[in-house]
Amino acid sequence: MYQKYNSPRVFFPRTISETLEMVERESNAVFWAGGTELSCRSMRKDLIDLPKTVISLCLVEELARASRSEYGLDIGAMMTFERLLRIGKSTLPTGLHETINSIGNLPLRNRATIGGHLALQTRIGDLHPLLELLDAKIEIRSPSRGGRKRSQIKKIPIMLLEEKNLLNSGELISKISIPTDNWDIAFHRRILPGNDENKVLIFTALASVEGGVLSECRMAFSDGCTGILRDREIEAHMTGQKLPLGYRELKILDEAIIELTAPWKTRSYDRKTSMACARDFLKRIEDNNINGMIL
Amino acid sequence: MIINLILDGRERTIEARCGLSAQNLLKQLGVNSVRNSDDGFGFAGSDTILLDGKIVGANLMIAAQLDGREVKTVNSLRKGRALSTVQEAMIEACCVQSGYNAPAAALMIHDLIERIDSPSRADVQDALSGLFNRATGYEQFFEAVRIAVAKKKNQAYSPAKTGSFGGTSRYVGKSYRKIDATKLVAGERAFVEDRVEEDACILKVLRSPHAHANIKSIDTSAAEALPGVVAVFTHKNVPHKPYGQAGQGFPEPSPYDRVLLDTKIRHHGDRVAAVLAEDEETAIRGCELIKVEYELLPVIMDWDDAKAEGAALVHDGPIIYVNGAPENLKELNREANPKETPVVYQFPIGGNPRKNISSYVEGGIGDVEKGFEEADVILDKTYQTTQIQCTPLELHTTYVKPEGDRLTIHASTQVPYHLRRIVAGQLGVSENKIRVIKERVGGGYGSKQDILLDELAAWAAHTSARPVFHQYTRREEFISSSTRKPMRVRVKLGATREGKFTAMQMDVESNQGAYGAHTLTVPMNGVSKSLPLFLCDNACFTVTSYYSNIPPTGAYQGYGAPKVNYALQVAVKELAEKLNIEHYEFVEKNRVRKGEVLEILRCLGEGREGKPESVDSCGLDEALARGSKLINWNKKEKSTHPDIKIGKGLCIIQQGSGLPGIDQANCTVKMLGDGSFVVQSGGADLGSGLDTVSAKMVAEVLKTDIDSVAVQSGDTDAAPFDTGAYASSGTYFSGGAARNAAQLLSRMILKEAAVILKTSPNKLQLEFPGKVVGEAGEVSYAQLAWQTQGGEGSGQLVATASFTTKKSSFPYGAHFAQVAVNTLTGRVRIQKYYALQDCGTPINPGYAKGQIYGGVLKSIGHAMYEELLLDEDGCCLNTDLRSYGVPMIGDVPDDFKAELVEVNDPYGPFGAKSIAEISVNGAAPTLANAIHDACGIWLRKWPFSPENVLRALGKI
Repeated sequence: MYQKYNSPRVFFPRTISETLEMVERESNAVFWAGGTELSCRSMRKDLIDLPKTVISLCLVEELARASRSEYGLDIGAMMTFERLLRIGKSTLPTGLHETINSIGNLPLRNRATIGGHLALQTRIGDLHPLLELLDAKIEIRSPSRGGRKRSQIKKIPIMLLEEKNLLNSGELISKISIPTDNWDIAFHRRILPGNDENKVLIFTALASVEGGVLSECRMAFSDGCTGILRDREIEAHMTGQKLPLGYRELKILDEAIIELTAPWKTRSYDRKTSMACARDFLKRIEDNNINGMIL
Repeated sequence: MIINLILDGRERTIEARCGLSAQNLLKQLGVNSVRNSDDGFGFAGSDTILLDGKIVGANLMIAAQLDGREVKTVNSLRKGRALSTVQEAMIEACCVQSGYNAPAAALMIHDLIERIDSPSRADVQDALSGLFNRATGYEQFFEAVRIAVAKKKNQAYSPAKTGSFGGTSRYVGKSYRKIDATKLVAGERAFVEDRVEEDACILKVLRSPHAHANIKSIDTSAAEALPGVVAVFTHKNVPHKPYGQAGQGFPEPSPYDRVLLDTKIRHHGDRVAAVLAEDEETAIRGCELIKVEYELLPVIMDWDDAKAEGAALVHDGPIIYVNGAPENLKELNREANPKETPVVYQFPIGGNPRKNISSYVEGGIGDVEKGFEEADVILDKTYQTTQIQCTPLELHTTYVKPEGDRLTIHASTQVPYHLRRIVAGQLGVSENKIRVIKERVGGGYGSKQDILLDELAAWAAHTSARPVFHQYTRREEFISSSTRKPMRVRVKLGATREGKFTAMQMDVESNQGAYGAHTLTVPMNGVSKSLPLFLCDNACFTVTSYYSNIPPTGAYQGYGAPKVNYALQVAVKELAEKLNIEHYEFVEKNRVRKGEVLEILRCLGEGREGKPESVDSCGLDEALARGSKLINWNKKEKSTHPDIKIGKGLCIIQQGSGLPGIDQANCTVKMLGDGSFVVQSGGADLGSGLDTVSAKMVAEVLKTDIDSVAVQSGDTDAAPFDTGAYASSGTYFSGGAARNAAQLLSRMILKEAAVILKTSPNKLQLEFPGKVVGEAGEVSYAQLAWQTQGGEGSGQLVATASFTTKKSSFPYGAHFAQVAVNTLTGRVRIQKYYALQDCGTPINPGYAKGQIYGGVLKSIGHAMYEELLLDEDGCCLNTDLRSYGVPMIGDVPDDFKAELVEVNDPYGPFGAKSIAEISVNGAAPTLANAIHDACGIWLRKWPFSPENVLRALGKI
């Protein structure tokens, strides 16, 4: 009989240090978190095209915990989306609950992990823009000298764009740290334009308002594949503006988004809708009606 | 690797190959209800299991991940024969139709109500977010959850039945559980793939990477040498006998223009070769080892390419006519390529493959030119629709077993008898050598009328003498199954200032694709099921179908009407606006009514001579009145957001009930030894509940308990001929045959009872439950059976009857919608959708509504976001359910209602007309009209995607 598939060796470490020891020994091993991406990509009818060596992380307790720290909330990389949702909306950083809820379906959220989501090599997930706006950091552990480093989320899209790997060989995302925040409002929209060129537009925004003044505002735009677009200058410009924004300020915002989305020059729908989403977000803040969106 | 797990409460140990998916491991452990319907993408939910109490997809896991875990499948829900609360609730809510994903849905709902005591609508949507279900439209799942929650709190809870129709009838018009629902929701073996035995070989097809090419050379030696390969098939060792894949009654209006394996490739995914092997991996590897050299040809993508001067010809072989050859046939064939497969027409349908025209027809009544001259206002617009995939949950599947000198085909088909005929023709054997057993069908929607794989598998089984299992992958469904034909429809309408039509003209161009299945009948049916909705003395049409190199097209629920009716109904609203007449009022002024004679049908005979038809029942009055009241038609809704615009739309729809004068159904009813009955129906139940319809009709006529009526259907050895489940014929024709057989049997029962009671049959009558009564006494069916089937009895009471008719019964309907259009993003939200449909007397009201919900949501998907995307070389880009975009439960309108309008039809059995197919004809025009009402744009092209809406708004 024809045998296409080599039988992989599967390791089940129980601690992070055991995991790192294993990966040091097995330099070509691939980490297996929720498995949704790998199996989605490689699935044929009955056999999954597995790498030669797999290190399953499902028994590593340390990776599946969430805890509060001075910095904020630390989320273990192996926390599934569904477990994160059960922590509760009020405990999670602003916007995290809504964004996770919009990812995939229930069976997928039961298995997909936050670490696996961030380690995707092929696309930018829904959480990337929000975590970047929230100034989240990821902790990366490596086998060399018990290495531990922290990286900003914003680097991930750049690495994707430049076809560089976020993780060096043997490195493992261990946790995601999200600082305590004081955001009043988070806004996440995923739009499928229905064209064949681009499948998704992700708009994410955060804002705080004090006494009718926009005390802080952040916005990110993503097409899920080529990068996260963000303009800190316009964010700074809007900070301190009184609501509602005047015609001039909105025009400045529009122009900034046109410039920001210049890499999408052939995708007029995405550029137009990015402006529309930003304006709508601001309108909702003015109306204090962020949950009232019907579309 | 050794896997230990607890499966449905039992400790199990099994050795699994590394890389084996969890779904496959469960299959090896004898669990058939955890399925793979999406190439393991984990999108459709057919593979749902509870893993340590959490819902997950087994296709997205490797077997090793089950080690040490607790796995629950649907088998864990049932206790002995008793179904769980959730399973009972699903049956009572009528959401078990084709049932392929019913076990998955049961697990998901079970998980939901374990987690949340009183789930909200959003909770239900989230819980079922991983379930794809094309048949049901999801709406009745909300009801199933509500019932399950109520039953959980109070086991004695019984929900209110869905309406009551059919007057004093006991079963007809009353809700009753679907007779196959228990086995489907329990996940029992029911589908073709459940019948496959261990010694079955696997057939895999090598498909073309090109859309148009000649095979220059093909080398199969490496594949043949591969251990485990049983046989390799190419054009060199299969019959070169043209046939048609349309699965229509003989003589077919569709041309015979394909052979099992050809030297010419006509679409991306076309068959090149096939490998039969001991297992799937070997079959796939065998395909990989076949070396093919292609000569690429220019690709024809659409009608414009097809009719361009000097265009490459998709079919360049000789043209042959069995009957009615045109005078210029010799001339047409002068430059034909004799080596190419011929195009064989059974009779003329206007085709000219020399011009890439597969069929052409024109017709009309009155004087259309004069009608336009008399018009005060003329509208002339063109509308275009896209190529849509049927996406049945159960993939196209067949299992063929040689048994002596016969073949038994376990098929997932809508047309068991046509399948038998076509396979017998290809094998060169008589029909009695072939037995087709139609298993439960996990969704067909037209695509399983076409004969796409059984004939090749039958050839493989016939020549190898091995049982052969052949199942499409989801990718193959997209590239080589039949699809909805793209159409371009020009509509020209003329009317007086007062709002009366003076002339109507429709020119339909259909992109037929590679082969000629349903080339004439689909676009023609589009005209015949839309134009007669409005009354006009002057009307004409042309229908032209073009061969091209897009994936093959064929039958799809609605059969042309969803597209042509979209064009017509939007044009009608456009004209009403030009006339400054309110849309509803304009429709009322011109629409069809009971008593009208539809002259236009004289020239719309679908390949035979047509005739005018009278409308002898029509529920449009009530449908329109009730619908407009429900949606508050005259009230303009206000939006709370300046950029969100709200609008309302409507359309009217019609279909037929089978093909009078063409279709035929037959049925046998047998009385068994205890006075119970077996119905042997030729009808093909696709999940819509046709078997239940047959049981109800027989029980009603024979005045017996419905539980004493069993139905066996779709077995060509057991049941008499039936044309099959297409053209909305199930209830009308197959149901009609069941009723007729029961009526015949009732007369036989009376005659036999009269002998026993020593009286005249005229003095006796049947009485519930299952007895004959009269002044002379009474005799139960059990006594009667004993008397007739005893040694000295008169013989078993068996009645066989046919249903044929020349009378047409048109179902009608009115659809209404309210949409909110976000003019910033172009997104459209369907706030309300009300479908009001006249199906005569609804035989099984709950399932009739289920058919409507399913049809409407399908067509919402078609209009709003579904589209088969092809690159410039004709290669399909979106070959999985997710990237193609099918409607999921989150896409269900916020307020979704299916309403039945009861009308007693004089011809249908118990006054019934068809119900399912018509349901797909309304969403596209209703939504387009509502979007126009909201923000003033005309959407003359599918899909109504955010980008297309924004473009129409002039914002991009």
